[in-house]
Amino acid sequence: MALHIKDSDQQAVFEHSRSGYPHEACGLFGGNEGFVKTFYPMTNVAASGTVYLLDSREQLEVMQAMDDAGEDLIGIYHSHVASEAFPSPTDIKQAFYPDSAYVIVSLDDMEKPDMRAFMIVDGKIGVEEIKVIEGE
Amino acid sequence: MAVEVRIPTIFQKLVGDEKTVASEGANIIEVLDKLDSDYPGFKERLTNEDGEIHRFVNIYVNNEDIRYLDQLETALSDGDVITILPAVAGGSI
Ligand SMILES: [Zn+2]
Repeated sequence: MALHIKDSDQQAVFEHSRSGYPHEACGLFGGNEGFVKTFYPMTNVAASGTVYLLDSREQLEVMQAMDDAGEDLIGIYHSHVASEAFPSPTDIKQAFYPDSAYVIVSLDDMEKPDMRAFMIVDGKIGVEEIKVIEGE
Repeated sequence: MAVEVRIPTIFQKLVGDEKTVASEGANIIEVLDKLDSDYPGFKERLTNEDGEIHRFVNIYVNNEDIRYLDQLETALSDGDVITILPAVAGGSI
């Protein structure tokens, strides 16, 4: 199942990635059946260019907001500030959400960020197609 | 104390595919022990060799992270809701 994201949301994610630079940026996607309904920018409490970690309280609040909105957690995004958009060994080891796509934005080319998505289940990586939908 | 425990997807298999289970205990450690006796192997998925909560597991009592309370000793009242969530983490190396 592909991950569908609106062009405006994708641009918001790219902007969030750039504004977090030189640290990794992160966020969550709420939605249903592979369609992103809401992009939730999150705080990287690791404040690092090589590691990200969501704030535990913010994480719970946002997950409850998704529940209230009838959304599922369909995507977990973070940026790679200087490497390709592919799961690192750390990403694989710390992938605890097998039902969610892991979306990685590479800022290797700041002007043209590269967004890719993966399912990570039991240490195995599957590529998830991203379909960008025109419009707001 | 009778409490409700919300189980994340990756641990639901351990508890018979339930999203929520009832448990009891005066504090978090007692609840985890009870869950472990009801569902063998449950506790070891959440804790490290020293019996501490794994750093990538968040446990909340009524929406407060127990790291900011009394950790595993956090005292419970009847009706408390315990939420277990895996952390969201990773990196580029
Ligand atoms: Zn990464």
